Amino acid sequence: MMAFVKRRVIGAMNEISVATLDRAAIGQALIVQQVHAPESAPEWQRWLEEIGFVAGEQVTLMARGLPGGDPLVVRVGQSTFALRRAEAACIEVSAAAGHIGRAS
Amino acid sequence: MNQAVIHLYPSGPLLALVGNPNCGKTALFNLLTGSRQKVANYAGVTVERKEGRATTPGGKTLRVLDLPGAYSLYPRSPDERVTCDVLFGRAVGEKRPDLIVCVVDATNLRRNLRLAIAVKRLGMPCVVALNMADLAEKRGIYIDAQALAGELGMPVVSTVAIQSAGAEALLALFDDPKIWHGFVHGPQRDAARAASADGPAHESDHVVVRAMLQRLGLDDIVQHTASDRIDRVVLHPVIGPLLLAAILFFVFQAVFSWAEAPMTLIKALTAAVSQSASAILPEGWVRSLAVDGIIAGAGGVLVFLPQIVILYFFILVLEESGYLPRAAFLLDRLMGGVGLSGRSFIPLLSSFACAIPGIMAARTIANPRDRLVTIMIAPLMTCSARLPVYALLIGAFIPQREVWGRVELQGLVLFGLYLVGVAAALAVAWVLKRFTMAGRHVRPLMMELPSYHVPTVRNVAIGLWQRITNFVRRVGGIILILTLLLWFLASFPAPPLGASGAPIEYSLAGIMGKALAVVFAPIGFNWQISIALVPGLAAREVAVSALGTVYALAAAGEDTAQALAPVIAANWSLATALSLLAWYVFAPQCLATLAAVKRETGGWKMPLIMAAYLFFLAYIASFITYNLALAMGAG
Repeated sequence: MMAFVKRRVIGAMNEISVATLDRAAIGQALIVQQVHAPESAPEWQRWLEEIGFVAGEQVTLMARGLPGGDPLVVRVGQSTFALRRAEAACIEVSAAAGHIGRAS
Repeated sequence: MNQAVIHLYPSGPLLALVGNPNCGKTALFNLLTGSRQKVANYAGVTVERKEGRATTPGGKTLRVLDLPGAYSLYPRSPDERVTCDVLFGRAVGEKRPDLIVCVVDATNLRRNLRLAIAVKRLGMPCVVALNMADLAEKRGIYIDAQALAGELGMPVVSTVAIQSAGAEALLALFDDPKIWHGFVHGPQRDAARAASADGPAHESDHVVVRAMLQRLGLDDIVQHTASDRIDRVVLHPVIGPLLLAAILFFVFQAVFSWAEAPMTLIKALTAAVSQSASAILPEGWVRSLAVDGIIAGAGGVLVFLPQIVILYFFILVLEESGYLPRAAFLLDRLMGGVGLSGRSFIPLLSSFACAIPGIMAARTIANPRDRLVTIMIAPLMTCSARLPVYALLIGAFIPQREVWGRVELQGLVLFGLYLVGVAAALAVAWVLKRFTMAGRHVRPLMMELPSYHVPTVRNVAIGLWQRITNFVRRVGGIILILTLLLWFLASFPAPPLGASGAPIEYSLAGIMGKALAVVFAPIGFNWQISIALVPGLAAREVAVSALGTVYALAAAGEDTAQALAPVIAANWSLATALSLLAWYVFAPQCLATLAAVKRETGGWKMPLIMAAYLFFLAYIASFITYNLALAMGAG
């Protein structure tokens, strides 16, 4: 699965500052670029989109669990979800223009 | 005419509430129907079905169905599948609703409206209830219901599910006959019509909703700062787990200490009733049936209630407030190691009081596989019914002395027994993760953490009442029947004239026990223990009084254990006692638990598998314990 993620990131190299949500910094304002699913669980794409992870949506990493930084707390639109790292890795994000930092 | 299947449904138009999880749908349902609710299961699945009755201002009586929360019409769990099947008119034994009420969380229109649009596309009459409208206004979100109705092409009504007058406008709407005939409200926007085109529906619905909110000036994201502030403490890497540990400790403590007084009272009442029944009824099998069968059986059911009420009260408050998913988040990593999610933790913790409420609490686990594994390992948690047995054996065989300085040896052994149970549960879950297909498959978490709410008294009270009546009806009846069956086994046939042993020796239970003694000989059980294990199937602690009966002790009740300790200390070897302790850690020595598992899994397959694997583990553990003890000279 890791190899798959890597391939997708390299494929998106022409777009600057594309990363996956699991590696984001806490509190950074981000925009969802694209959602893809691992080959072993193709249904994740639809599921993630249904709970709000669609292209163009605002998303912020709120907190990481202990130990091991898993699972993650993610704000998407106006909802808050707990995602495991593998799930967050399916979500490609880019920095939102302008405001960086926690909006509170 | 088609003669295939004809379902007869109760009269009255059927209304179904549909909405995302955490949109306040159940609170609105409670408001509409009050206490006039029926809780059951949907046909063929263990998904809770809630139906109630509501009366409109015009005097119309409606059937209201509270469908399980769903994010979309593409089901991902058994709960969501039920919602879809009912909406599509495919659910077995369910009438397709006459009117759909899409419950929408006004503070989160972006996600909630997508489902409303998808439901509308099904072509049934539908209205939108803009729930939690008061909360939205508090956060500065002012929604023009008329304008939104125009955009959606459906009537929109604001509701406040925590106020007793919060659903009046919605109820008044149901008096309008046009609503029931697919009345379309106002001009339908092009965008909403475009959504009915085929294609990746969820994505275009998202675009439609975004455009709609932009036109209404509602597309700003308003953060819920109060919830965020609480989360900064609750989800803090250090404070969060400490707070959780404190809450769990408090709940656990409350279940044991608060339940003690009512449990003693119930036991005393049962004893008083059986005494007066003994005084009234003549000596013979009728008296024995009434006292040892029916009254003891009913008492055995009711004695569980205080713990269940207290436990469910806390679970409901934690659930209503929004803390429960946070607790699951904090525990996810811990449980993930053995292939479960954080959701399994609270049912397993509950099982330390009694496996039955724990097994019933497993309903809060959305994933069917995780739920099943949690149910299957719940009996390995040391329940409070094992304590009298442990206390008897430890008191009789483990010397009262201190080891390693100040540690009580007896307490250490008891703690060890708890620990072995937990370790075994985790080991079984791990084995299931490692060696089954479903276990290796990665299941996603994707769990919503809803905004915090102050739990309302009405919702907690209704939820508690439903769970109590459920327990008494579903499990209580089975426990009572089993108790009666075991009474029969222990009482018939009566001993022959001039018999010298205890009457139970000559009964069916005695015959079974003596046959079982052959099976149990390799693990060191004598025939007296084997007989006591049979009535002990009603509830584990019954084995203590059954041993008293087998050894023909005159003392009854609390005194049995005291009188029994020197008798067994003189008659059994240490190896036998240790083997029996090991047996009690694992054995499926509680038919009520198996009955609850049958109820919750919808068939006999799982309880039979559970009984078989627990029996196997118990036998192996006792065999090893017995032979190790023998080898070390404890024979």
